[in-house]
Amino acid sequence: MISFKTKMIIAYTVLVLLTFFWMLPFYVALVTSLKSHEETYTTNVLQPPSAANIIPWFIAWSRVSRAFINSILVSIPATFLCVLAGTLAGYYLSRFVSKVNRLLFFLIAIATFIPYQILLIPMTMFLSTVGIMGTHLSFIITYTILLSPWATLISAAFFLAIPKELEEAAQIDGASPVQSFFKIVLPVALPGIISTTIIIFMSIWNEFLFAVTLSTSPIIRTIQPEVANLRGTTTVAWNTLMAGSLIAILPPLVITLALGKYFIRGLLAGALKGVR
Amino acid sequence: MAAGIIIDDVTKVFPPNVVALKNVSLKIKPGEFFVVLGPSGSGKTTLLRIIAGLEVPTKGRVIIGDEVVVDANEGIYVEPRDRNIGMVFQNWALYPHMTAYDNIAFPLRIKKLPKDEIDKRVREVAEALEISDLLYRKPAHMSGGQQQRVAVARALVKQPNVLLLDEPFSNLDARIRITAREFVRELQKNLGITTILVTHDQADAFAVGDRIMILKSGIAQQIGPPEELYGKPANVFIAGFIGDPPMNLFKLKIDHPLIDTLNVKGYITKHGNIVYVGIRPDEAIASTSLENAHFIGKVILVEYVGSRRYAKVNILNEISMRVLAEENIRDGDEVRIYVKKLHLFNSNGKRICTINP
Repeated sequence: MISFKTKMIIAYTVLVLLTFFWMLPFYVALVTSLKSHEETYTTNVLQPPSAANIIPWFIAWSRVSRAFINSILVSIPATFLCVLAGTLAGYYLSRFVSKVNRLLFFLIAIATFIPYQILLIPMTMFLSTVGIMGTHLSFIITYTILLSPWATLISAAFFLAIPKELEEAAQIDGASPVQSFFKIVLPVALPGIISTTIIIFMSIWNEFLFAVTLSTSPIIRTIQPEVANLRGTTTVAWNTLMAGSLIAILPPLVITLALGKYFIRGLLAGALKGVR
Repeated sequence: MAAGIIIDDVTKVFPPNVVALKNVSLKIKPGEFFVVLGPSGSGKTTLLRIIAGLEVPTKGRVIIGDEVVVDANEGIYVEPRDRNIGMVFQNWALYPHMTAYDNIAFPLRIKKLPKDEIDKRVREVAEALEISDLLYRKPAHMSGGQQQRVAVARALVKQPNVLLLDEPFSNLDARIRITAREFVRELQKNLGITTILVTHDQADAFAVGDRIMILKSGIAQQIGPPEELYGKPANVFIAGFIGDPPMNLFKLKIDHPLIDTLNVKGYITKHGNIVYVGIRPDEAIASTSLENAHFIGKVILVEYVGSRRYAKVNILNEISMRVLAEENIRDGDEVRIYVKKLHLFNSNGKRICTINP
């Protein structure tokens, strides 16, 4: 029989080790971004820089700033549209059960299982036929189409966890359907909606394949392909590349830190009985 | 104002063809505490939801006070929010993101009453339900009994004509349940509000009901005060359903020796060859020393149900029944059994009469 104390020691050892390995790449990226170009080739990757050198950060920012703004201009509207469509559809599908709705739900689930690479060529053909290739709109439309089924599935799961008696009670208490949705359902589902928003935003921000394909000119290029370009042509400028990568993860990082509390609550909402 | 309720020939069919209620008619008096009692799947919650307006009947109509709130034949339907009813759900359905105060105030805020009026009424009802010190807690931080009181307060705060309670005690543990029943009963009497309670638990029903309707497979079996349901069950189903421990019921041919022993032939001759004989465990006694016993039996086992002691006895080597046991009786004893009262039903299970043999 292992004592409670021993168990805790084992558990924490495992947790600390896991955290260490998970943080290691981040650490390497951070120290590399602060090294000089020579140092990135002469020192061990784990070794801290002899002197903190922030020039790679300036170089990286000057090269990715336009792409960074492009990504923001694309990600925010696309996330908004996905979450709007997803929560409305998710609410409807979770509340009004019928044969047609079950079929729709099934089709949406299938849509999320299709490897999205398959859609690359049809989607670009569609966008060039419509004549919006090379615009922010092409990104927004593509990401909304790609990710709104996910948003629907995720938010339907959150709405399913809300007992329908809450809405019936609101109805009896005198609320109209609109009042009941905005005063009861939405606040109770808020952690779920926030989680959906974070998941969708991160998926769009981090997407690479479509981003490369749709970035027909440097003016329109988004952050992920631009960071890949930082590599350089003859020798790889690891310090600039790492600084650019770290700049690229800033928005998802900030959002997750700010809304992480809701994110975890939202993820647990379906698992635990009763919504808190 | 307390309002009477008339349920007129209500039928509810869920597609494709599940009949939840079949031609249910009843009249509830203003201020009455009415209980709908039935096993799960009997349609009792559907009936409550039809009265609330959360379901629409396939046929029939419902009248609350002097307003027809739903009439399937005429196409009349009044929304739940316009029926002025209060309802307590089985899981209480408190709004989890609101404090008790906000939960109770919600119906009044929807009505757009002035702030100080809302505050006054919330505090009044909280006082009456003894939850004044919980007002700023959220439902997650309350016990089951406290949540129930908040749910009742929310149902009562808008001073409804009718209070609907769906299995309000089933989520409470046994001890709180007894106090909760008393509490709801007293509150209902003090307010004089017409109340309908739905339950599958006969102890709930008997504790609070002025009158009880027994529902089985969507069909009303009997409507009456508790003593009538217990003393004069309308059919074999009710006889077996009401009473704890349950009634001993035997399906007997008319020439069965027990019929002779109990001396009931005179009552049943015109009811065919087969009858049901029902004897409540509490209305028969097993003893070693009775003079005027009806028959002799052998004790299989002695058990306690609640605070009473019962013997399971075997009579005529084929029938076993449960009867009250005298103190000195042990397993395996030969006992003499006296029947104080028995209930007779015809071969269709319909009540013939209750007699003292």
